[in-house]
Amino acid sequence: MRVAVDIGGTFTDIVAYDEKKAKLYTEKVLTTSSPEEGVLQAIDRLIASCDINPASINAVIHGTTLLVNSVTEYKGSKAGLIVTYGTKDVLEIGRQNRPLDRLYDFFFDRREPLVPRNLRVEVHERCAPEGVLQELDSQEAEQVVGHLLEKEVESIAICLLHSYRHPQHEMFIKDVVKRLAPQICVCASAEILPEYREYERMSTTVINAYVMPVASRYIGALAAEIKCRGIPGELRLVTSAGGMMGAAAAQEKPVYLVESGPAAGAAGAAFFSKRKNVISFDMGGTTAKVAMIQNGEPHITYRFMVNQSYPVRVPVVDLVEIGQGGGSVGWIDPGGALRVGPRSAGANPGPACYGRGGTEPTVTDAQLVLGRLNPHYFLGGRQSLNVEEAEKALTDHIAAGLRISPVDSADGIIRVANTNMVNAIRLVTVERGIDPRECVLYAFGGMGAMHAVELADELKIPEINIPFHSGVFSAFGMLGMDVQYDLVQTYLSSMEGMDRKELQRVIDRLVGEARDYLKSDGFSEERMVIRISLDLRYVGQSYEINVPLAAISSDEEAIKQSLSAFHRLHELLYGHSTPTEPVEMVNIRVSGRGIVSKPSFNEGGCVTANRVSSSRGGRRVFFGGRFVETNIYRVDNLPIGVRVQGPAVIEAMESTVVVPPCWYAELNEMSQMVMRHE
Amino acid sequence: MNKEEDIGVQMSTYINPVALTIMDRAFTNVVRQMGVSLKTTGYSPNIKEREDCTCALFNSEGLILAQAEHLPGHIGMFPGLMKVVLQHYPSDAWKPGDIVICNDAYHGGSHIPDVNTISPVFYEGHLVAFSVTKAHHADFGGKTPGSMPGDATEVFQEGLRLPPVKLYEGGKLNEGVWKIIALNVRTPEERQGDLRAQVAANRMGERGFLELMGKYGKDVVFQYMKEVMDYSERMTRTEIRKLPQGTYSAEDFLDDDGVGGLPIKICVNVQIEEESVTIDFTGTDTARRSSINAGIVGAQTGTYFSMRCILDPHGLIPPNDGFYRCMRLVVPLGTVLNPIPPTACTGIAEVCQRVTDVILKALVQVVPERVPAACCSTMTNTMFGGLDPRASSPRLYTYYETVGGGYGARPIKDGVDGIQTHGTNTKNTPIEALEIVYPMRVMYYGFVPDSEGAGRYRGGLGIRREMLVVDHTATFSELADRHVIPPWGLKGGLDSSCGKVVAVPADGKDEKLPSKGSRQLKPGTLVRIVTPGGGGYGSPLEREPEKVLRDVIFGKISLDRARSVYGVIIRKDERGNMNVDYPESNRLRNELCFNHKAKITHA
Repeated sequence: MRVAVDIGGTFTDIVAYDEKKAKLYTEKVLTTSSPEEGVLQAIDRLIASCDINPASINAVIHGTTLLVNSVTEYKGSKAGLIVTYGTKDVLEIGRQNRPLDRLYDFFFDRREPLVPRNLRVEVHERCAPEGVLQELDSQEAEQVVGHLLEKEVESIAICLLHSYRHPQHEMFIKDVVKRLAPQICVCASAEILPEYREYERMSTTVINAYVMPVASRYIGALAAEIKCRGIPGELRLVTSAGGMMGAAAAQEKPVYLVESGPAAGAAGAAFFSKRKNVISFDMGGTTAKVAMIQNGEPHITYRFMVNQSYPVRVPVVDLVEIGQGGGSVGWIDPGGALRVGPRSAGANPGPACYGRGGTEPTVTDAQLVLGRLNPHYFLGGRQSLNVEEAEKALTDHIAAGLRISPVDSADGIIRVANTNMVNAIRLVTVERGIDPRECVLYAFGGMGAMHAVELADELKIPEINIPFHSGVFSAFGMLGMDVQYDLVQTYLSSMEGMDRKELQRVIDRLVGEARDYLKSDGFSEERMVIRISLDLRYVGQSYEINVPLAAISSDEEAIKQSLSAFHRLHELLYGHSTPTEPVEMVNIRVSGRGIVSKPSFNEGGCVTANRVSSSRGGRRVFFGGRFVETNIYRVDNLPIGVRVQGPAVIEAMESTVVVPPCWYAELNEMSQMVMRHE
Repeated sequence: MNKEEDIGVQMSTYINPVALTIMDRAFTNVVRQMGVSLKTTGYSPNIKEREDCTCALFNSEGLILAQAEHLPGHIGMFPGLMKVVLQHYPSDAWKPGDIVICNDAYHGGSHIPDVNTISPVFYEGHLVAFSVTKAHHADFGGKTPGSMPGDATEVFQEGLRLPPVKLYEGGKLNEGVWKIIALNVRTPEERQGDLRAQVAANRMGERGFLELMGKYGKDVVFQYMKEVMDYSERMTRTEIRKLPQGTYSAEDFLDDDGVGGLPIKICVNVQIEEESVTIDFTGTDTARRSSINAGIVGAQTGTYFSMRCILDPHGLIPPNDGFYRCMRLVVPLGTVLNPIPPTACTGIAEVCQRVTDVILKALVQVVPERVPAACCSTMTNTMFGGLDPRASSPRLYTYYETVGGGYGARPIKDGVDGIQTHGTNTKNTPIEALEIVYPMRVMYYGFVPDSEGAGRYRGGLGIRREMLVVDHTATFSELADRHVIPPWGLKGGLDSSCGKVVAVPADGKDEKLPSKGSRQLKPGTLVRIVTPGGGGYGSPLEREPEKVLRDVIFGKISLDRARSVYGVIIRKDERGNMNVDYPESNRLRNELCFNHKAKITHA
């Protein structure tokens, strides 16, 4: 049996899957302030209420936002950094530029570096691309390490120039740390990320060192508590790329976990929607997140920046996040244009209709006035919404000034918010050469299902899928994840004059490493899938495109295929390619997967049959410029397979599905709503 | 559903506030997408690593509709360009598939390496818009690699000048033009790659605009092309109305003209009227017989950048013609800001920085709470070129870099250390990337302690970058400023330190090089580039002692300077921890304050 725990804002959800019986169990507890306690409480609750034998649990899967929060709030460890002489300010200077969205703002700030200047120390040593220029003095190495230890650092990052190719000096210093202070966390950049471009490698290594003691304590404590409960299974952590990592590896390389939270949502969409092209769309109270999933795998980026400030060059689910959510405020600017967000009314005071003192009109207020939200069934009736307050906010801030009705103001807010979200979806589809007309829109989060159809209409997306109970949904996503280790090595070489033997040696080494990780997680050879890819670019360019290498042995045919894939992708992404131009290789990437059996929903699914289909009566809802008499349904009463014709609104505990005219909706056996255009 | 209903737009005199936002986003989206493509597929480090490029859409009359600038300095560079291009190629001279190329400062360009490509957009046989890109190429010929010689005396020395000419005619490459370019530049393959990326971005802009026409219908697109401009104009005038009316003057200086001349004075009169602003540069020095001049675009860019920072720091006003309409520039012919051919113009990058400084200095009198002390205000353009000794056959290389400096202290907080300021915002070239590609080595790249303009809020620190020429003779070319006249402080804040360039030959002794000029460097020579810090804000004696302590602990300010300039005495305890000696510091601060006042009285 495998167990997955997802910590949400309100609830911590837990899902268990019994492979032998093909049976699923779910439970939820209120989220606690200590994440560790929350996870354990959820496990205890599951064991007690579903009568599960702890000894039968063979894996506990968990995604965490603890690490990213510790960076955001500067609550990581006291870390030191050792660098080559002359480069200790590289971490602070970064790429020397101001943030692109603050070009005209004299009052911009740069986020504090995670290692302050007095804890960044230099050693005299130097490598060039071609080899060692100046040897490292072992005495000096001991001195600088000793200096940091005196300052009582909890972790040490090491990042020397050209160590992606010549790691020996870093490894020497790492050994010195291990010898002088075995209790200290130490990270060599050549091990964390042997990739060229010193600032990005340094930043990645520093983040790793900064969160390592936090990760180590948290994961260690959790693993121990799990053992205490008689659970033999291993603890596995969700990575930013939407895979899993063993606890030991996660403690060594926690930088791979920073975007664990959002990755789980996208992974949920990847797992549930079995289509080839899926757009995962998660709209909540303050932001909307969009990701592209192809063939069950989320698109990955290697250019992620934590807090939009610190680059980490590890694989991260490529999410576009924009400030458009239920709480986003609509306002009229001095030029007379209607805008929505990025300011949010947040949860407190929240939208005007919450009646907690909010006076500005939000997206939620607009949806309420348009009749799409049920004032008496928000969050399953746990909160009632005040229509008059919403109307008043719309009147005061928008309608009065423009001399239009509150309803037209509400309609305007929704249109503008949708435009912003359509642009976000375009970023992950059209701009990556993907046609939205061939995609399914997978909408979730509190507001996702309400906006989905209008976005789909605009982009001509033919089908929408909506899951219910989004927390459980993320946890399900974790059950569908494979264990995955991603390794990289910079290997600069022209594709023509390449030393194929040397290339093969590098590939073999990375593949060996990946296999070792998987072996230690208990995977046999036949359950391992190794994939190799190359980062290629035209000679002279400096952004790379990642293309798969067809075979583990880099024979001529495989290389040729990669090359033609590169030209094809370049054409697709940028509208031009030049197959006659020389191409060079920059990085070799190896991804090792341990394949895990996937839950199936054919038997014992979590949806009960024998429901009655009945409309809960009607309500007037705004569609296409006017109010239309509309049927209202509760999802709990909806039988599987029955077609609900738009205009309709389907209400669920955590979300509301809006079905405009010309669309229909159907509940399938996986507790998903499927919507299509007629 | 008909097309109009898609965005809730009815053709009418009523401007729909929803459609306004939607259509502005739609135009912006097209140029943004062009920009992403250009910087991702460009070849020059300037484009790909440093994002020194920009893309825009214009209407058929040459008014700017939308722009995606990565460099704020590119903000004002386009309006003037299209005016000139349309003089050379009036509306009836364009065919689908054409691309016009140009770079000359006397033909709407900025400086030689900034190459513009312009393509028309046709809809149902009519010219409806233009798609335009600008990108800084690593080299475009001339007397020194990088095409920005600091010591040029005529524009001819700076590089290959292109008036608006057709690079493509009806979709076909004009081989003749390309051959002239290829023969006159040092690295033609790289030029070809960059131009290919630019042309692809042009085409992307054409396609994107046509998609909008198809989606929303031509009438709606035409109406809102006009509406978004009027909208920007309304927004801009609203902001101008909030400013106190009056005329505000200031002057500031560039150190010298690079050929031995005296400081160059730039004067400005900013006249704020009810709904518009006139910026008058009368009184500015006449053009020099050096490269420290700027085509008319320089004054425009410096002005529009400064005004945008003051009027719209959060970027709510779309940068289209409506914004530019609200400002009038007076730039007397024959001055360094509007020279007569064949005056050299490479210095635009530096001149623009000073134009920004002088306008801000005038605006301190208008909106003191919005203006920082002077930033390092130099781009510190640094170029190396030569034959790469590592190549099996001789291969010419050119390497161009700009180095950041200190940001000016702000009225409520410190300036940022070591960062690009004002009109420039290019990224650095990673040391490892540089050493792989060029026969150079970076020996030092870090902050310069004590270089800040001291103040209650201190300016940012300058940067020191040291580069070693490995195994070959290189041509080095520098174009920088603020080596003599430091960035100014405000409200009692001190000026920051100046920049400098020093050559350290393998066997000889240090030699200070001029801020503007070129020179051959022997193998093994190290070039040390030091950039200025930013000016301070308010008296350093009012700085919180804890902040001084923090700077000392971080090694950004020395113990001596903490004492002598900030009046803060810091002592080490027996465990090596540093602490402020408050009683002693208070005494010292009183004393310094008294001396300071005494000095003022004597003066």
